[in-house]
Amino acid sequence: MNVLEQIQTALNEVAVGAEGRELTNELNLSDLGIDSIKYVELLVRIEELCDITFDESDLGMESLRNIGDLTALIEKTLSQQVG
Amino acid sequence: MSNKNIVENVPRYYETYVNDCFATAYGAVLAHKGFNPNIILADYLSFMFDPKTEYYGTTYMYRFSTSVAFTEAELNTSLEFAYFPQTTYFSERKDVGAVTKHKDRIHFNLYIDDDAEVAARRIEQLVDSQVPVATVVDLYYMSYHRAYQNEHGLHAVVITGYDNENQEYHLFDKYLLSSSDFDGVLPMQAIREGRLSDVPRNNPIIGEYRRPIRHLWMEFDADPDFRVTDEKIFALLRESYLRMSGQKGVFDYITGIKAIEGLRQSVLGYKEKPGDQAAAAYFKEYHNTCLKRVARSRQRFAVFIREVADKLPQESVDILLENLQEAGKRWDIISNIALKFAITKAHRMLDDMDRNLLALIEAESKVIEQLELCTKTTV
Repeated sequence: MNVLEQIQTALNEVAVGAEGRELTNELNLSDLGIDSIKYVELLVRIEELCDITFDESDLGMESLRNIGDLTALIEKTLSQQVG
Repeated sequence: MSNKNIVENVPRYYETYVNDCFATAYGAVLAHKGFNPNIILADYLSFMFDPKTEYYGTTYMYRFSTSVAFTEAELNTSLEFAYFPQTTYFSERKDVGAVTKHKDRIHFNLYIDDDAEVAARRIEQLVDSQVPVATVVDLYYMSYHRAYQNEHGLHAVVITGYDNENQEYHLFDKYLLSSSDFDGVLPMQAIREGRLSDVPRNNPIIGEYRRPIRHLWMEFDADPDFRVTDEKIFALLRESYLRMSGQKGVFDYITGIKAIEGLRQSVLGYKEKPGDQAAAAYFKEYHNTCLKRVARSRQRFAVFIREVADKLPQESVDILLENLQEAGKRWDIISNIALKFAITKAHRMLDDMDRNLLALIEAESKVIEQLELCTKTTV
C-alpha cells in the first residue's frame, strides 16, 4: 500500500463517514470530522500500519491542516527512520 | 417591548490557542466596552496539584462540575482586573449594574434564572441598551456546530440582537479552536432550548452527570474611574511569582514547581500500575483535556507579557516570552502523549511525559526568576 492508501485505511477506522471520500491534498482533516483527539488516534493507527513512530512534537494538530500536510509528515518520518 | 434591535460593531474577539470559549465571549463584550481583553482577562501564572485526588489546575482546580453556580471565593482566584460576585439568581438580585466594592476591578456578574421569559427579557433589555450579551448554550442545539444533535456540551456565545417578528436571535461564536465560526441568525427556539438544557454527559471516570445551564449569562460593569494601572499590572506579576515559586498557595493546595513535581510523580506512579481501561480513561478524559488548558494558560500569560512589555526590562521580556512559549509547547506535547498512552497503553509514553515535564520545569523555573526580577524592577 502507498502512503495515501494507508491514510485512507486509518481514516476509515477513525473517522465515521470518511469511507468513499476522495482524498486530495487540499482536503481539510476537520472536514472529515477529525478533531484533536481523533487526530492522535489517526496518527497512532498510521504508526501501526506504516511501522513508524512520529516525533512527539508532531502529535499536535496545529501544524497539520489537510491530507497533503499529513502525507508530507508520513513521508518525512519514513525517510528519517529508513535513513 | 421592542420588536427588533441589534448591537452594531461588536468586535469578533479571538486569540488563537489562548482562550477558552468563555474568555472568547467575554473578550468580545469587554472589547465592545472599550477594554483590552488581553489585559483584563490575563490570569495569574499558576499551577496547583492535589496529591489526595491527583486533580490539578492553574488558577482553579480542574474537576468535572455538575453546576454552573460558584461561590465568590471559588470565582476569584484567577483575575487581577476582575471581581466575580457569587453566581446570582437574577429574579432575586439586588443592585444590578452597581459597582459598590472592588472599584479597581471590572465586575463580572454571572446570572442564572430558571424562568425562560425572565432570561429572554433580560437579553432584550441589554440589547436595547446597546450591550451585547455573553451567554451559555448547549452545543447540541446549535445547528452550525458539528456537535448539533450529536453531543452535549456547555459553550459560550455572544448574542448581539433579537428579532421578535421573525423569532430570531443575532449571535456570533468565534471560538475557532473547536470549529466554531458562526456569525448570523438562529431561531429563538434553538437558543431557548440551548440555554435551558441540562447538558447530560457521560464519561468513564464519574459516569453519567448533568450540568444544567439555567440560562446562565454574564454582565460586565465597571466603575467610571476604573483604569488599568501599573500598580495592578505589577500586582498580577507579583501574585504569579508568589504562586509559581510556591510561596503562596491557592486555598490549601500546593502551587508552582513543587506542584508540577507532584503531577510528575503521579504520572510516574502509573508505571507500577497496569495500563488498564481505568487508566486509559483517566488519561484521555482528564489529563488530555486539562494539560491542554495548562498549555493555553502559558500562551495566555505570554499574550499579557507582550501587552505590558514596555513596562518591563527588555531582557526579561525576551526570556519570559521564550520560556513561556517553550513551556506552552511542552504542556501541549504532554497532553498529546497522555492521549497516546490512553490509546496504546504503552508505558514508554509515561517516560516521554516525564522527560517533557522535566523540560518544562526548567523553562518555568526561568520564568519564575524573571518574574522575581520584574517585580523588583520598573522601567
